[in-house]
Amino acid sequence: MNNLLNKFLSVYGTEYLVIDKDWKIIEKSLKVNYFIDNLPQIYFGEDIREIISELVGLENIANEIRNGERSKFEIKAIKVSSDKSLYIDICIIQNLNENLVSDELILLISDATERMVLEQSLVQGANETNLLLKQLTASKQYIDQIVTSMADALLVTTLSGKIKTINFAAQRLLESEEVELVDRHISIVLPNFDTWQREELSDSKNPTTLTQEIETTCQTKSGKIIPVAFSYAKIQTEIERFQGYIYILRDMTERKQAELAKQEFLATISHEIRTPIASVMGIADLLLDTELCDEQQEFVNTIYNSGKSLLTIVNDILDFAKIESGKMELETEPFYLCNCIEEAISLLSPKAKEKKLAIVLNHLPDLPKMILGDITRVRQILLNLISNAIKFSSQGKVEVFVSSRQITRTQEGNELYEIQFAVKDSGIGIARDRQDRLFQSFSQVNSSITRKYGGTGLGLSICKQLSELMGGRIWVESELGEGSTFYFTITAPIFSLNLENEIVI
Amino acid sequence: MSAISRKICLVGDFGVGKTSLVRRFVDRQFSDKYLSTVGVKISRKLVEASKKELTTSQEINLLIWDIEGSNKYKAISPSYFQGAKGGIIVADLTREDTLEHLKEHLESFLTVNPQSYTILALNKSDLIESEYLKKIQEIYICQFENNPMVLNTYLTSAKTGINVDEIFKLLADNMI
Repeated sequence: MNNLLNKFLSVYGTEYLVIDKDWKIIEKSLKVNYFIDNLPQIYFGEDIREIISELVGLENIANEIRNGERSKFEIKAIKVSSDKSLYIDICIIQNLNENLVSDELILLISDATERMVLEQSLVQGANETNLLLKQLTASKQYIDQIVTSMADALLVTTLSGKIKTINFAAQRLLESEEVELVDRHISIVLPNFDTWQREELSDSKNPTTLTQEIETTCQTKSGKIIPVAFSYAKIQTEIERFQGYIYILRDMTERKQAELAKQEFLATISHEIRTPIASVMGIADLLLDTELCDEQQEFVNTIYNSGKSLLTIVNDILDFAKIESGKMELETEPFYLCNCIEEAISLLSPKAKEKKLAIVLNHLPDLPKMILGDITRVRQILLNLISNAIKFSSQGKVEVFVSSRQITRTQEGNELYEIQFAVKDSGIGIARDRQDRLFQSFSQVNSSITRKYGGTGLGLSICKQLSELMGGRIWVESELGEGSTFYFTITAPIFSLNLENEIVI
Repeated sequence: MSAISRKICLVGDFGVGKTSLVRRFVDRQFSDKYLSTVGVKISRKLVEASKKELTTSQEINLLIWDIEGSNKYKAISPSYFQGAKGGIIVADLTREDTLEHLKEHLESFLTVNPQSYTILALNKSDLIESEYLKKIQEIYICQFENNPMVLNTYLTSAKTGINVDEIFKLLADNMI
């Protein structure tokens, strides 16, 4: 190739190789090595396809060019090595001589690196954006689908409580279109759920987790009040305008109705059962006063006692139903604390005597004399705990401890006391891992207890609810085989002596 | 017998995993990071190929053309396909549009090389639940079953390496 052309090509960053009909190298430009990594020292006569493998398979193309059927063939943007960023374009043309015939080909090799590096960054950006956009669209669709198809109502608010999004179930529940609620405050929907409550509740360690179901009511557009259970969580994202709260509301109308029906059923049934039991016991009592032989006497006694246990169970169920439905009402009347305890003990002492057990009362001298409260319910808890203690002890004694401490004064100036009762038995004890189950409804330590000792598993659950209603709590300390001590507390105002005197006078 | 050189091309949309398949096959490596290929990059690997009916084997120097993927702005230049003896048409199982484009890519490859065998590689199989595969099979793959130039369709994963060696091996066996 002549010198002028050579220079000309070199200026434009293009190098060349000339090959014969067998792909052997016969000529090369000065700097072609720059583009070809593995060019051997003695390259003349080497097959170029061994050196530039990009040319493998191009035999037909080469023939077409030699025959003049094709003017050129280009392969653009070949990345030459993986170590450095170097791209080349290869263009194959015929090496025509003066007679316009030749079997030789020229490979023009030019640097495409600058162009390709720029293209790479553009393509990278475009493709990444494209992928991201698709991903984003898909995940938005996915989330929208989940939100719309949820059976529970869902509302999303800003941090201050302004409604931003509601789903279809929410529109149905609240009888409102989305446009009617968006930008309104959540309190329109949940009038009884104050913001301060939310602040307090969301102050937990992990505010993003969903809170447990809270029962409240929501108000629909037509003013209908619907009982709902709802949970909510704080939405925390890095973008502040996406932060807010998510509320999930579940319509509880049906469940409430079912609960109500169940409670009414329980109350009715218990009542209906109590009447015939009362007559069975009444008649059995009358029968006992008549002349009976020993065997008959025993039979009637059994009838009477069985009736009594049945009545206890029915009363338990009734109490339980009452507490569950929130209909349990407590009295607030003055009573002598000691009387209450002694009554409970004396009621159960025949039972204790049968098992040769002693019931011992230990109380501290500074115990308040009279308190304001519900004597029946305090006695009920004591009766339950003491009779349990007797039931599960086979020897020794059952001890009752009473202590008290002043905690504060009521608004009327009365001293408020916490009174603690403890019933200690020498019975079979309860394993530590079973102790929590004791106070759950219908649950006993294990089912064999039911077979051996009877009971519904309601007693302690009722005691728990009653003591909580009276501002206290109940718990147990026990070791297996070492007996148990049941504690419960109540808080009650002391009934002052002056008032007492006035009443006496 | 000395090794013969054979050119094969990887063809498909951008981001379906062509480079990752080559990387898994040649370097036994994988990276999750997306780096778009521009132009073309050739990798070489020596493999042993054998025909079913023959007991002898032949060494093949595979020249694997990892060609830039197409996107909506730029199609693949057919000049890259010139002289290829085999083609692997790749799609991404998680992106339906790439499956739709399989036919197009196959046709443009076979237009340049009507005598070359091809394999369809449905890549990223590790990312998709098997229950969705049946539908994909019905919609996109059945149409290729009667094409004599399509050797087979494979579910591949450059990440786990599943069926990666198999596609290159099958192609090599059919290029002797």
